[in-house]
Amino acid sequence: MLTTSDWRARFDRLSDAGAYAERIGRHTQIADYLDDPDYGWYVHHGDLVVPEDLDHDVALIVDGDLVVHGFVDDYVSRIGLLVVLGDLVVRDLVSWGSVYVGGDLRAEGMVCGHYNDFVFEVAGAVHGRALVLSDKSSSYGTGELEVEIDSYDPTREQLRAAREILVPQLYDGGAKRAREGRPPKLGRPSYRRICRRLHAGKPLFRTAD
Amino acid sequence: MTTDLLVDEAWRRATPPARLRELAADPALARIVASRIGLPADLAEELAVRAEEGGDVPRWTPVARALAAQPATAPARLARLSAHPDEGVRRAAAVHRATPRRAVKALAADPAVAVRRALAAREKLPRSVAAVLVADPCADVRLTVARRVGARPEELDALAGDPDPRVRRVLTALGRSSAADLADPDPRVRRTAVERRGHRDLAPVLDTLAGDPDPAVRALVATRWRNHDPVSLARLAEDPDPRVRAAAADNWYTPVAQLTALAADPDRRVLAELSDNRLAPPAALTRLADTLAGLADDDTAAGREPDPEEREERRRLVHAVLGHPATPPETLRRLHALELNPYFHEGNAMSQPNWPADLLIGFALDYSGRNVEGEAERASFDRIERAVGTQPPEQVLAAMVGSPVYYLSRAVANRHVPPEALAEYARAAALSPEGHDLDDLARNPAAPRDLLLGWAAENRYCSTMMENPELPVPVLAAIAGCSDDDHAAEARDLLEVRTLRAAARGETGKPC
Repeated sequence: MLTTSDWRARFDRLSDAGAYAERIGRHTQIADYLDDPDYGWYVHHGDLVVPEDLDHDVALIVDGDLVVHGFVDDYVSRIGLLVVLGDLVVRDLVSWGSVYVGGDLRAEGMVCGHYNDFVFEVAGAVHGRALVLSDKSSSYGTGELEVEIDSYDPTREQLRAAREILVPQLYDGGAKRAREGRPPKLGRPSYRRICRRLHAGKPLFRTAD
Repeated sequence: MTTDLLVDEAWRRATPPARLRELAADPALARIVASRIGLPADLAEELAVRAEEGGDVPRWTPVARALAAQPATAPARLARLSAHPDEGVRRAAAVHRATPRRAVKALAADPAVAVRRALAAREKLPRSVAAVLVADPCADVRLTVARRVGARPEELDALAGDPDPRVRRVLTALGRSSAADLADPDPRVRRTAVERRGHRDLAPVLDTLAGDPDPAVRALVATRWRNHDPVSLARLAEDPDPRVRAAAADNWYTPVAQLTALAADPDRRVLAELSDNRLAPPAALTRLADTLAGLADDDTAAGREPDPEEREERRRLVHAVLGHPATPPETLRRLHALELNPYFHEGNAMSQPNWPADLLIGFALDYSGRNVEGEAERASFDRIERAVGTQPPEQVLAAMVGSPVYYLSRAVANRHVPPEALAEYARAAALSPEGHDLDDLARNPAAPRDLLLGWAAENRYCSTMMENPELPVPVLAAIAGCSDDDHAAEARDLLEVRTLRAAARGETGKPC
């Protein structure tokens, strides 16, 4: 797993990220974070390709596309903030911090945004197998998604659809119920369990496709 | 099929390789296929051949860029891409993990700065290539080498004295420069040099630094972490720049005379820092209260209202002075009477030791009157209310300390409570800790010395004892010797400040 701060030499330190807030638009929630100099924003000009899983632990603007050949977790060591002005392409994304994508977010598998600090914003559409939000201030367009769980009031249909494709181990008490031949209780999959399985290299979905 | 649908298909995980090959006939879609996660190596190579032989160079170049960053691209292909005419392709190849060493070496002589800079940021940079890059004519490249997490000592040494101040600043921040960085011609380097040093390192050069032409350097030198020298602080307290004076106002080691003078400073930032200085002397706090009263008087005389921001700043200052443990009782009385803080909270006054007894009794009765519950509390409250005006205030305070009404018992923080009542409170707390707030007792300058010594020895209540403005020296010495690093270091500083202030008063023999 690669840590973004170890790649600092590839980025420029911004003394003022306010110009990016202007560019993205003051109406966005991420603008407040860009205006705050305490975050110490870095910028990468052009596309950035990360060849493996990413522990994203800094405040980074990618002025281009970001392609991660693995999953991104922005709360492994320190909370990360990520602004991608182009598309964000990842295998999976789990976010406790802030993510803003100016284009589309294209995940192969899971996109998970959790907790009410920070924001999840995608100006384009989110594509992936599952989008799971919980208690997260979010704004996005819905692309090709097999499952979508709303941040605050998910419907029973959404929760049922997720339960159909996600492994039971992602639910609290789900593994035990699976051993008893029962499905997990209807609810959200657990953010912590999603993170744990990603880091362990275990599948999140019941089938490969 | 529309382009958007084809784009989605090119990205879609389930699209089979055969279909991807078809889609990749179009360079715009080939770029997407070349960026796909988990791209098979053979398909990557196929796309590379197409990009090389496809003609229409501008349309196929983005495909080459994607492949130069694609983990599935083979080393031999990366070697070819590292010589591609497009700078962006070479730049991606420069950071690719699988680019062969020979190609990496060749890229060190690339004409494009962006490529050499990318090379300098590679995860694994061969020593021989790093040796070339530290002498690169472009400062951005050298800066990137300096900023590498894994920069080797010899590379950083080679960059010492670099003509570019950004490089020198990084080396200073990393502690790889000499003492000469404090005299660097660039102020940003000097700031970093001062920032990473403590008061002991800076002690020999404080006189020079206090005269630095850069106010930010002088402000840094005036902070407590970097300066324990009253002589240079006296000079910095009279600096023409308010940021420097503000830093001196917050420094425990600034002499009492200068702190008192700063209490009439025209700049609000200076006043704010002074009000935050835990060791601000009573005289400075009284003068600060006078300054605030004077500002209010001036407004009244001129018939004007301060703007909301100014009003809020003054309110914060009044709040800080009323809450400061060293503000003298009569200063508290005068400032409170001016009603400059509409958000004054009677409950907060209970933990400040210096409030005059009559005022504190009034606050406590007003505040707790709304929260009295049960017969025992009601009886105690009524008894104390009746005693006001018939008994001396100290006796009323003593009764409050023993009251079952929580907010009345918090009078235990007040210095006017008779010592025997404090001792009784401590005894009762030892028997039944619930309902007793020993943190408040620890704040009280009149708290029994033996009790404080015992707590210091047991490393208990150290945090609140440190808020006690007259903590006895033996107690401070005991905390200074305890294992808790934060409190021990703070206690040592406090002892040092008391000794310096005593010496300034001519009491060199007995500091307190």
